[in-house]
Amino acid sequence: MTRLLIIVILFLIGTRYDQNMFRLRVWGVRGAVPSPLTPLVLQERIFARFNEFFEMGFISASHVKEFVTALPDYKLSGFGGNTSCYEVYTKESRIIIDAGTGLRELGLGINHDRSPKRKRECHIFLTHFHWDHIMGIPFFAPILNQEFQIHFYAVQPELEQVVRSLFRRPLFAIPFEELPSQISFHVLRPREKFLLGDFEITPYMLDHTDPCWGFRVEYQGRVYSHCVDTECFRVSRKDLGEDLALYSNVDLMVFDSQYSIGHLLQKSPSGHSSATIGLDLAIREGIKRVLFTHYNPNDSDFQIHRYREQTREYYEAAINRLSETGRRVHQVMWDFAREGTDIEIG
Amino acid sequence: MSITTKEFRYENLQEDETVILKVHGFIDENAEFPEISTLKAGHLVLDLEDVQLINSIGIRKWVLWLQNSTIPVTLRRCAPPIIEQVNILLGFIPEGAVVESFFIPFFCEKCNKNVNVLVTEGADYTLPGAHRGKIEAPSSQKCKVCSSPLEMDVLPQKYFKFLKL
Repeated sequence: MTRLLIIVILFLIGTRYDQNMFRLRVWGVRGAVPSPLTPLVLQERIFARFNEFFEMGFISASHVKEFVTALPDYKLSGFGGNTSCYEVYTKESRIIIDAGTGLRELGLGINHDRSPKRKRECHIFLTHFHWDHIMGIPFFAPILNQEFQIHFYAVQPELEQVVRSLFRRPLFAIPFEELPSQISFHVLRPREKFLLGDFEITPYMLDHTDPCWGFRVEYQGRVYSHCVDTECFRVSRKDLGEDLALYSNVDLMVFDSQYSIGHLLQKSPSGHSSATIGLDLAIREGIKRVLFTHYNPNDSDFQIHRYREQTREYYEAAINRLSETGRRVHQVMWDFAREGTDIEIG
Repeated sequence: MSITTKEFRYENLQEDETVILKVHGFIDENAEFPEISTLKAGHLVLDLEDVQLINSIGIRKWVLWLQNSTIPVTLRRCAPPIIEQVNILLGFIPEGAVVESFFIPFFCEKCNKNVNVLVTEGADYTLPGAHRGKIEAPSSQKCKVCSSPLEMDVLPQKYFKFLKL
């Protein structure tokens, strides 16, 4: 009887946990243009890993899993090659932020999801209309499925015009008018909360080369903040003004880190930022966790790893220096995002 | 919970054609540097002893501020946070800028305190030019409080990297 009670309690806890889940899944981490792993690079990695396997003294197939799971990301799978696409979801609701090439694979999953509870509708929020954030739209399987309703959202009033232009001959074989899904467009008001399913979503302005709006997504008191693409020129509280809310009381922030601070200074104005700037902001504003993303397509996985290590050095030095001032310092959990990253928010 | 940054401020002293800006506090998003063209200087000296921290937002402000300077720049009494960036970031100081003096962090084990020791170009080190730089790091430093020997609290190959030894 006691054992049954424990099982029921654990099930209820699990169910409750599942009921309240609020998660981010990353589908695309590159900026500008997709950057897939080439066959040659993959082959070189496999050769190098086989050599390492034997150099480390492993000899049998039974050691393979141990070896592979211990490998750092840049040595095998890498960070990913698709451009920006992020899925924010709860048990009942899902939104997609940006529609880069990562949207293709996300769409395949949605299209084949036959769960009766899942509604046949998709909600896609666009931060801006640069190619890397919209190029996945024509290849989003649900858009070619008559069962689906597809909703597009943006602050920029030219939203519908931009999406329609993607389905125009000779650029694409299927004209917009012939798409079988039901498509609608919603222009959001800047800095005004918008309710959708489980979420409260507020757009805030980012600092990019063309109008670009980040999103604050709230669910049961937990907050996700989407800050890509941005150079983050406005950083002081005074300069951010109303847009400071994008960085306030945030559980998880995704932040533009296309360049190291050194490269950023060479390329500025570029419309993109650096992980160290994201960390400075997170430390100041008490942001709990940060995922860095939007990598330079020309950076190899090893270069991104080096950049991550430099960021780690910077962060540790910054925390030490701040601690020396005698003040309480907010410590931030952070990492560099990979495609397939799927984490709880809050 | 966020922290309050130590307020950035500077003092401006003019000696003939030379303007000396003594900078205090944190160089961060709140740092506001004066427009160099308004300083009416033939030479700019930055006294950086009291800089406690420079974060990457501050680095961006600093580099953008100095990058268009057409007058010679000298960095004087550079605090360790400044030297760290001189070593890490190419272009942190404008081309031709001179590091006239800087502090080396030492540590007293007995007092459990950091002590910064000043070294000066010409007397203690030479900057790289046609040849590599040189430094005779101060040895036998003693704590002024307890007279115990001080330990250099940096990795020389890292801290003196800008001297291209």
